[in-house]
Amino acid sequence: MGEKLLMKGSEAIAEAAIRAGAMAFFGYPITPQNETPEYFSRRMPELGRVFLQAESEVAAINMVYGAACTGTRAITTSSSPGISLMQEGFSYIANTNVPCVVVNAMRGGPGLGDIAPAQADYFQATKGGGHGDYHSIVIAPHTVQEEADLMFDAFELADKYRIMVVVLVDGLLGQMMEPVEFKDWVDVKKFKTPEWATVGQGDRAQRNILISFDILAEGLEKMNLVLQNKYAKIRENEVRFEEYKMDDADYAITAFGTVARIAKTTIELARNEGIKIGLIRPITLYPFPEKVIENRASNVKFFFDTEMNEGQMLEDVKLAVNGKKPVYFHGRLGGIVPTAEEILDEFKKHLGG
Amino acid sequence: MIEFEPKNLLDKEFQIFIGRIGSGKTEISINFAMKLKEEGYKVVLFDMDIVKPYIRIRDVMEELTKYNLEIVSPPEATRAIDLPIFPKFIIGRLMNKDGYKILDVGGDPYGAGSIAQFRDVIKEGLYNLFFIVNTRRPETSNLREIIKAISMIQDASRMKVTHLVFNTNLRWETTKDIIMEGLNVVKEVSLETHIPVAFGCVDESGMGILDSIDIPILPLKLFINPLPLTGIKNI
Repeated sequence: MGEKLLMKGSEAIAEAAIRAGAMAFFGYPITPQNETPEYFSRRMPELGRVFLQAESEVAAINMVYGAACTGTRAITTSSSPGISLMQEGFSYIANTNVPCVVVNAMRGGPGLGDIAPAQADYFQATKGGGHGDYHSIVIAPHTVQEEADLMFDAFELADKYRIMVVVLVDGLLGQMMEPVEFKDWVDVKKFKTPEWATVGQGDRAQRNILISFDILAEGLEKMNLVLQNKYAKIRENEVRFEEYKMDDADYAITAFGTVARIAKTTIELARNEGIKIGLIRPITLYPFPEKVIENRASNVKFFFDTEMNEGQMLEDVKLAVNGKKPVYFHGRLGGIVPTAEEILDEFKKHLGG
Repeated sequence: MIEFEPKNLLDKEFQIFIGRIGSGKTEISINFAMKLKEEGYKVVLFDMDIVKPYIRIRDVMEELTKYNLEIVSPPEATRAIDLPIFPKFIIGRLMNKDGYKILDVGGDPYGAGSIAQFRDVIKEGLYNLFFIVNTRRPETSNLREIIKAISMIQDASRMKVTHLVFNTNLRWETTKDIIMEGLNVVKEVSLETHIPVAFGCVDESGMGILDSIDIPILPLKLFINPLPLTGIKNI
């Protein structure tokens, strides 16, 4: 740990990725996350690492794919429309079982949308997005410090499971400035090229081949089962969440990222009025912390999910609650950020009902 | 504590705030404009930031209208699209001699470069160009970095920095030690470059930590504070 700095989330993400051993960045500019590639563009050459502005998002993600196949820690960052363009690459990366990190600073959609912060890419990030039966690990920080810390975990998880890890933030978490302290640098000299990497045959009896397809259905089903086994392990071992004031809570708010921080203020406001609300904040959106929600269903009167979308994580919350208690919802669309007071007003509509 | 007195700066019609991204330009421009207005001067605040996607003067207009500040900002319709558009009739507004013109310019050479086009209006001798420094921001933490940043921004804006503004802070984690350490760096820059320190800034809620500071202070009322933290602990 070093000296504390005041940083924007978008800068902290880049600095943390660099310290975590990102050796190659490929990307294409898009608002509201341009500070991230800009930061990489200054720092990566200083360290003798790769920064490359690709000709498009499609090119960028395929460059990440290529670098990942050599066992190199590679990253790209973008925002919603840019992430949509990358989906084909994500799907290929998934079935090739190679690690990489992708940051999506979500903005208002669909289509070109706007540049205001949003959370409407939850489905896209957690349910696949591209074609085929695949998942990525999806992590959702809610402070600048957490953005910095989780970048290290993102690279570790990617390598551990040979999987793409999506760090899902929004424009506001990128633009806001907070004090931040970074973990120690990962010593990249100690990196060993993975056994599976396609870096030349060397002393191996056989050359390594990384491939995302099998032309025979039986073979392709086997490839799929490898993925599904991996996802089962991830669901078993990598769930992360924060419970905030849940111990004595009569009601639970579920929210992630930016809205979770607003909800913490809502909870303070409510508690000043004697209404005991707590927060369950998924940190991993995939794997989703369904057990904690299921368990809390016996303690609380109802759940209140709030997001900057039309109710996407809401579906996972409902599956976890499984009908045991009502699940209500409030969302804002198109890049509107709800206020703490607004969430409380909406919440109160369900009291005594 | 010495309270900041703008009088000595008012022989110039343009008061321009520049710096690296995140140095505090917008908050300080707003507070500087309010200070002049409070003292009875006519002021016009210009939102010239075409770099940041949000957290700009135009995003806190509603709040600012309570203070009757005259604000020139880009068209409302461009608020949430990615178009770097200056306010309408900008040249005319800048040429208007009535009142002090306070300019919040976008960060870094990108932002500062955008005002070079107005240098026939904002002529040398007519402006104060304030370079804002927070030594807890990346790339302005020491003498060498700050001098490099000043030089890059001067080259881009084709204007000369006339004053330094000291704004070292770590938001709610600011301490007296952090302030004093930053002030020493900024004084070193001033000695080396012969650019005077005009004033320092501190969040008005944290004035207590400034009892022994020897530069004039402009207390800041903060307008741009998206999503204040409640009960956040580091994970």
